Parts: sequence; structure tokens; C-alpha cells
Amino acid sequence: MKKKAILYPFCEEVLPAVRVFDGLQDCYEISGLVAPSGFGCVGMDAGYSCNHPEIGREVLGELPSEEDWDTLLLFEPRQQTEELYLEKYLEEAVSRRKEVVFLCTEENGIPEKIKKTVVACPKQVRVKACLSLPEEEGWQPQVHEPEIPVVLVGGLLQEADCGAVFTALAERFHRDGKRVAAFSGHPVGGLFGFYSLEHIWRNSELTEDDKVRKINLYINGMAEKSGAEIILLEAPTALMKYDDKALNGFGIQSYMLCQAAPPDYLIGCVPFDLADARMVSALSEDFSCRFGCGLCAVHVSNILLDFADSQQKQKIETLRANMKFVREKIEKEKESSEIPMFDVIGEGIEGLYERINGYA
Amino acid sequence: MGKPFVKLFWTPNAYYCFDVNHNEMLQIERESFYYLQNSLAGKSGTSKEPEEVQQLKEAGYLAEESVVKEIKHPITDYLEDYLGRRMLKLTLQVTQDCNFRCKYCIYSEERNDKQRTHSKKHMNWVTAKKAVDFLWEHSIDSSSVDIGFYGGEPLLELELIRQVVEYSEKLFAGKKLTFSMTTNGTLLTEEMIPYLKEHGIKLMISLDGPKEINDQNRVFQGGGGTFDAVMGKLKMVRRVDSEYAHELQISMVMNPENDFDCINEVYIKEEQLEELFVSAAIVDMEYDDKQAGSSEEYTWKYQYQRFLALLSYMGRIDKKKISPIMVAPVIADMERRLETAQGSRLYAVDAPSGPCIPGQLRLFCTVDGTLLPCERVSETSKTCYIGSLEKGLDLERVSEFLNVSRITAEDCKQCWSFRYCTLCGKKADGGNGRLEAERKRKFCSEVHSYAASKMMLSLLFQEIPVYYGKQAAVIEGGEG
Repeated sequence: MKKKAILYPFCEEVLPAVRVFDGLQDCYEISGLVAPSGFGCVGMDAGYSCNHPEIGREVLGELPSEEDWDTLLLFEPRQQTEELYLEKYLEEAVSRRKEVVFLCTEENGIPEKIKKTVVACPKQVRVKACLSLPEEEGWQPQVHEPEIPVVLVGGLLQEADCGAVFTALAERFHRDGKRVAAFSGHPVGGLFGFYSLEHIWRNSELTEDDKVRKINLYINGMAEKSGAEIILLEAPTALMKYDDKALNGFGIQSYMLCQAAPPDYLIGCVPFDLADARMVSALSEDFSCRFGCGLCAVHVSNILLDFADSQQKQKIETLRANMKFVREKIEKEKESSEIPMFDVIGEGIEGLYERINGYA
Repeated sequence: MGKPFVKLFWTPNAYYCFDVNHNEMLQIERESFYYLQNSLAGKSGTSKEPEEVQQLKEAGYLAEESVVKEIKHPITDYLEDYLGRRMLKLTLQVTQDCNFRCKYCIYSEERNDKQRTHSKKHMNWVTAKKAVDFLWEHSIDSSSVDIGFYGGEPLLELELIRQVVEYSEKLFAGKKLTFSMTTNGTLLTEEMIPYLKEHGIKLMISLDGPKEINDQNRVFQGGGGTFDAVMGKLKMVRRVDSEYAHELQISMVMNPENDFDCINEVYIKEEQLEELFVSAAIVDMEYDDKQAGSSEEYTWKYQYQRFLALLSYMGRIDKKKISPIMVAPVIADMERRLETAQGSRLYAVDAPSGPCIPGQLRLFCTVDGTLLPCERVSETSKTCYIGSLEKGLDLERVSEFLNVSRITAEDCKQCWSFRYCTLCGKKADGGNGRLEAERKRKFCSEVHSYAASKMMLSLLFQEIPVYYGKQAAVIEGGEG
């Protein structure tokens, strides 16, 4: 029987995980989503956090009554936020004798308070990290291209629903009975058996060459160990520089990832205002040179760059536009675009999935 | 050749042609420069077209028409999402009362009939709470929000401010929240300082220069200059918490009829003002249909100080020797000079730069819950009304304000400073309930002159490494 879980803190970046929650694991069922008031979604349907269609689950501002749940699933969002009140909810759950699971990509960097509580209450509080190979397991002088197909999901902006397309694909492959080795940088990924490359990206002692080799070794190792038929990768950062203000890490990590595991299928997540047939075609050509693989398909996102504020703050600032703009854009461009465009959020993953299956 | 859509510039070193459609500055030969100058004057038939001009035309430059066919701000279609999900700042007019009666104040009883006057009206808690809730409901996609306190003199309503701060901190828990207040500072007490610091309330204190200049205009309600009172409070803040005092900002309204050096003197002589950020503006007489006159001395001394500030930016003069009044505008100019090179070309559907998104960047809520694009517009003019807490934002009005250039569309399409315009709806508000083209056009020459100065600055910095290499080497060597 599944345990009833509360997920905290609910935010935009965890919405994709909520959507596929039941399809990718059997331990928990979501009983409630809780967010700090300042996130702006308390009292709203969870889909509102991304201006997406409703998913039928209202976001709460406090932990619900005692009998409604068994486990508190805690994590630190990837995007920087202010005070998260993790400790407050940790203490509250512990005092109510509930199980607490702290989700993370790797066991380094767990907040001190969580570590102490794990030590103090080992039966009640535990850490669930993404899967990883022991460090000493390997070293190789050169990279070996994976022998199974590699699907890479990346965006012009990381926020352009990359996580949503990635998890939806993982769930769809899983539903089809395909064994997938999925690599994501999201802390909640551990719950779904995803692997993380964060321990390699964050290792400052490794040179860039070493990182590529390690990633290659790690991906091949995990794929082999899990008997995977497909490797599914989420680009660690956006695919390329967006403009002179929104630099996106220049797409360097995506490039390194593609050196380590050259993709056979590249799924590009593109903001709707840029999803023109000609633009997508030009991007595909660029990616062919950059990553060795053009675009197989495009997901059109409702994300919009707030250009003026990004310029002011010297960092990417975005907003979520009404989904009608995505539908209108696809309708307008689909005839002329050589690369098929999909709205995974509004129409589901089926169309994109069929495209991958039929892609030579 | 007809009249090309270009603007010509020259320096002692080179000749340039700014191609408006491409938003590109092209260095050209002297011969081409004079040919284009003649073309602009309608005398193109007098000489043979230089080869360089032919080549530029072949490359798509020097078109005779603007590519802009329709004026429409690029975010017009997404206004509902910007205002519904990404509001960034709310300014609360907590009171219309003030303990000062500054002679140039836009709310002064003697000044104008297009703005409200001082009154005892103040915001109540119900309205303030509703306004904060409004910001919360409209900012889910904003990574940070700011709440500003404005008046009149906001410190007259300290209790309300405390309520708003306490409530907002709870409501926005988990989101970056900042507070700011524009105040004359005279009502600050020692007890307030730890509170203001604890809640990160940034103060912008108004002061117009040394005593003899400040006290000409900035006087108490009952009469008498305010300089000593303000300086006393600044001293007190420094004594109570020097760290917090260091964060204070000074807002200065300059009357250009005064001598710039005299205005500036206060920052040299008063240690309370040392190293504080100064935001200076010229006295606002737009709603009086007047322009502030400026003395000759003010103009050349201002320009000289600007020159010194540029030298300081280049590392030739110690920053401490520069007028603090000039630091912010020169840094802004230097940052914007890069925009000259980075701005995008013109498109068929485009809008002049200038207006911010009304209501998104600094929504102003009056004591009774009326919503205006910002605190600088007229509160009595219907033109600037963009909604109320009761009825929400009126998107049609916001769109109209955002697309103010539609009222001068044909002029704007042909304007060489399209990408460098600074005019918003306020400049077209004559208080008659509609945006007025004639009123807006009055400010165009100011925009052109600003854009030209910005481009000349950009050219100067482009030329430094080419034509002033030796002098630049001295800078790098630190011998200057």
C-alpha cells in the first residue's frame, strides 16, 4: 500500500514531477502539496504555478491535519529562493511522528539541520539521493559512445519546460515497458530512480576533459548496470547563449554532455515567441554543428523572457504566458515547419513520443 | 538618391553615418559624408554618388524609408500575463499630508491645477492590505518584489507602515521582498532606526543642496528652512547606526537657475553626506506647462563636472574628487553607451523605446485605492488612470499608455532616435483626459539631443583606443 506523502516546497520546477508521480514510483501517493505563501500559488491549482492547465490539486499553505498523510518529502529547489522554512516543516513532521524523506541529487551538500535530524531520528528521517556509482569504479583514457539510443531534452531556456518534457518521456517509456536510464539534475529525480550527474559537474578538482570522461563512464556504467534500452538525458543548463544579457552558461555544459554521450534524438524546448519554422530550422542546423545532432522535435513552451527586467538584474527573468499563445503559434507554424512542433503540456506526450519512435 | 533614413555624425577624427533601420553606426569616408549630407538637404544631384555609398546601398544600408509600418509595443499582446503574473513594485501613497511646503512641490497649492494638492487624506489599513494582496496576486512569476512608501511625508503614517511591513513579510514569506521609502527625514527618531534596519527599509531622503539653496524652496509647513533639521537627522542616524546610515540615499531636486557648484558644495562640505548615493533630477514643471530655465553657469559647470566624472570612470581622476551628483548619471550613460552597439534593428511592427510597462514596474496606489502607472504622473488627470483596487487593472488603458507613440505614429516611424526615445504617456498628458500628440511632440527635441549626446559618447569611447592610444596607455600605466 502506498504511503500518503506531502511534497514541500511545491514550486514551478516540481510541477512536472507531480504530473507523473504515480507513473514512475510505487512507494508514495501525493496527499498534499505545500508551498510558502510567497511563492504565490497557495490556494490555487498546482498548474497555475506555470500558467498551465489545472491538474486538480490545490496548493496548501500549511501541513494538513495529522491523519491525512504519512510522509513529508522535502527538497531544496534548484532555483535560488529566499528562506525556505525547511527546518520548520522538518520539526513539525518529526514532532507529529511522521516519516521525513529528504530528496537530493547527492549526499554532499545536505543542510546541516537535516543531517543532524537524520542522526537523531534515523528511523524517522532519511535521505534519498539520486543513484550513483561508487567513485573508485572506473577511469578511462577515452570516451566510448553509448551503444543504445540517447535522447537529449534541452531548451533555449532551462525554464522552457525541459523538466516537464523529460519526466513525461521517462514516464511514457516506462509505461511502454522500456528500460530507461534517465539522468536529471533535479533532487526529486531520486524518487523515480533517475541518476544525477551533479557529483561530476560540481567536482571542482576535475578538468573539463576529466568531466566529459567521467560523465561518459558514468552514463555507460549506469546504462549497463540497469540493463537500459534507452538513455534519456536532461541538459544540465540551456543549450546555448540566449542573448548578451541572458548568457545561459553559454551552453557549455550541454556541449560537454553531448561530447560524453552524443544524442541520437534531440528534443528542443523553445519559448513560443521564438517558435517560428525558420528559426527552429536555423537552430537545428546550429545544433547539428554544435552537438552533432539536429532537432528531432520541438516542444513549444509558454515561457516568455522579461527582457527589460533580465537586463536590469543581469539574470534571466521569465514569466508564463497564457497557453493560447502556444496553441496559436503551433497552429500557425506547423504546416511550414520541417521539424514537428508539439505542446506536451496541453496535448500530452503522445505526439512527441510517436515522433521519436518513428524518427530515423 | 532621395533622402536616406540616416543621421550623420562627425568627430575631429572621423565621419559617421547612423543607419536607423539597422541601428548601426557606420564609419564612412569624408566624401560619402558630404554626399549624404547633401542628400539629406535635398541636393543629391549636385555630385556623383561615391563608390562607398553605392556599396552600402548594395549591402542593404541607406534605405530611404523606415522599415516600421506599424507602431505596437512588443509586449502588447502579453499585457495580461505581465500584469497578472509579474508585477515588480507597488508604491503606496500612505498619506497626502506633508510637514513641508516645498515651493516647487508638484502638490503645492500655488503651483498647478493638473495635480492634486496637499490634504489630510491618508490610506487606511483596509486599503493598504488590499493593495498588498493585489501585489501578491499579480506577482507569482516575479523572483522579487518591492513595496515603496510614498506621500506626502510617509513617516506621518508610521503605524500603518509597520502594519504593512508585518503583513507583507508573512504574505511574501519565501520570496525576496524589499521595502523603500521616500521621505524628507525630519520625522525620523532614534527608536525608528533599528526597526527600519531590521526590516531592510531603504530610505531615500530629499535634500536640494547647501542651506542657502535648500532653504529657498524646502520649507516647513509653518515656514522656515529645513536644511538644519534634515542634517541633524542624518547625523542622528549615523550616530545610532553608521552601517545603516551608509545605505541612505539622497534625492535631490535641482533648480538649474542656481549655480551648479553651489548645489554641489553640500556634498563636499557636509561629512554626513559623504559617500552617499545621490539621485538628482531637475525640478518637475511639466504639469505647469513650463520648462525649468537654466543659468549659463549651471550649464557649463554641469558639463565640466560631467567631463570630470568621465575621466574618473576612465581611471584618470580619483572618484572622491567627483561630484556625487554626477556619479549615477555618468555610470548610467556609460552602461547605456553599450546599448548603442547592442540594440536591435527596427522591425515592421515595432515601438519606440521609452515607456515602461505601466503598472508592472512601479504601480502606484493612491490613498483611496486608485491605480496609476507610477508616482510621477498626475493623480487628477483621467489620462493616467489605469484601474483601481476595487475594479482591477484596466488593460485597455494600460495598452493605450504603453503604446503612447501611436498618437504620433507617422512622426515616430520617421524618427532617427526611434530606439533611443525616452518619452512615456506622462509626456502626452495635458490633463484633458486623453493622450495629446502636440504635447508629446514638444519633448522630441530633448530626446533627439539626448540620443545624439549618447551616440557621441559612444563614438568617443570607440575612438579612444584608435586615435588616443598614447593617452590611453598613460591611463593603463596609472601615470595620469
